[in-house]
Amino acid sequence: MNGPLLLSIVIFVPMIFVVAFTPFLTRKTENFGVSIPESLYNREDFKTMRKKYAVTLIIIGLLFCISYAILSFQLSENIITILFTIIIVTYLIFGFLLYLPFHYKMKQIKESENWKSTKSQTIVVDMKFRQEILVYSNWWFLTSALIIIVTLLLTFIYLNRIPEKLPMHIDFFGNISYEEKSFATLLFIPGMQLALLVLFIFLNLIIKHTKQQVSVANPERSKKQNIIFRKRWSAYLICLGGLIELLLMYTQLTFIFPQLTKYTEIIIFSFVFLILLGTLLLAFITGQGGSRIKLNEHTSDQVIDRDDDQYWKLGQFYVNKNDPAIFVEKRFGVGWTNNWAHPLSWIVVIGILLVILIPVLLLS
Amino acid sequence: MYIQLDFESDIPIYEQLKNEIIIGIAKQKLLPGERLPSVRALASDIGINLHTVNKAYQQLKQEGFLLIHRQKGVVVNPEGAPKADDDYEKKLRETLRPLIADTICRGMRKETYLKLCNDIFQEIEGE
Repeated sequence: MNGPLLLSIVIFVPMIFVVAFTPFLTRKTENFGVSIPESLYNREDFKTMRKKYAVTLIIIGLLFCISYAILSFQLSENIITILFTIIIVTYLIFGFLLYLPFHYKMKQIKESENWKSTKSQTIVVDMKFRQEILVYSNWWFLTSALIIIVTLLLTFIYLNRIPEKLPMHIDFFGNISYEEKSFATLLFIPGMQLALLVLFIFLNLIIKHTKQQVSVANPERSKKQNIIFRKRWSAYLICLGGLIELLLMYTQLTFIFPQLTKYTEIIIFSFVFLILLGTLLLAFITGQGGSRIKLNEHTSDQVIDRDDDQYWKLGQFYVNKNDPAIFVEKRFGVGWTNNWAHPLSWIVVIGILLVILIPVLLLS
Repeated sequence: MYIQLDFESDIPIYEQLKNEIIIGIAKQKLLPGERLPSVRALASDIGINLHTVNKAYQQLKQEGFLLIHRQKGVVVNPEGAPKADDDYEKKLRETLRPLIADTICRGMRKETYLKLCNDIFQEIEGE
């Protein structure tokens, strides 16, 4: 019973950290989804708001964790799996609900202090930004492709060793359901590997093509930060891609060499741990748009970035029909989000959902 | 090369964009034959309509600052902008006349005006 509990704690605790510390990870030109002059980021009342938000969410997160741990000793396995999902979703919703009063308070402060009128609002764009190397080449994904090829080769070399019934579905507790051996079942995992490879290449392209965001007060520094930010997440994608392909290859190999299954728990555990630790470190060291990377350059007080708060609904959802960009940097959080006014955004999201859902639906 | 656009200015964005690109070429920060971002890329970086960028690029093409190739995309004219000829001088004279009249009406001295011009020349030519 301790394995799944430990696994869920390992997943949940880093999540609490990322959600709770989000206000510290954003760009310094934003506070709770409201754009601010960079020079005001460290104002005492803003600092207090960020701390209050983080402490509240950590306490709530820990309470969730403790109650989950206590419940997991008393309830049946199936219910606990569902409970874990519910707890994660509830926690995320809770984080968003807690964010809202902070967001409205920031809006109010901004309105009453009228920063806009005293400084000229401009936007800076680097005409040579697209000449820079922004992400690592997609050729790096050859390693992932190689893993898929090895998986396929091993499958067909050892075709006869594979038993007639294949364990196709494993739940959170290691309960296995079986299916007949066939081409479809044998190709299921390589197919998933391929779909993921395509998805990762696509995500790498998105990182390359998203809107450049250069801060007016400090164009040179924010540009360098932005490039480092993109490159690090691109490298992360390449490594993550390789790791997941390896994990899937291992799963396929357990069909051929059933004695491998005794390592399953430790392998899944270390993969999850490694991936979450990597993500957490990257998010905290780099910050949104590279905002936590220290580069020395002086900042100008005379200008502020163009105020585009009107396009950020609730400070988190970008809706701007005049902007041809499909992907933009998130405001409150680390990573990218869509311009929801662009029809392609919806098509892309539905496409990604289909890639994830089709294998699930095929199986059930 | 950074360009700066002011969204609250009375000067339309496409015109500001044009001016910034011309200044970039004059300052030799954009060299002859150099590629500029595509209409789509620049519009999404600035966060404005495609037409606005397209209008600026088309006018710059008309005036001979840029070439727009189907394959190579948008490049700074490798041969440079057309040299100033008599026609150009005549047009420039027309543009400057009301401006100089304006400064005279406001009582600005000729020396101050010429010094201003000189400063701008120095700033752009970088000497």
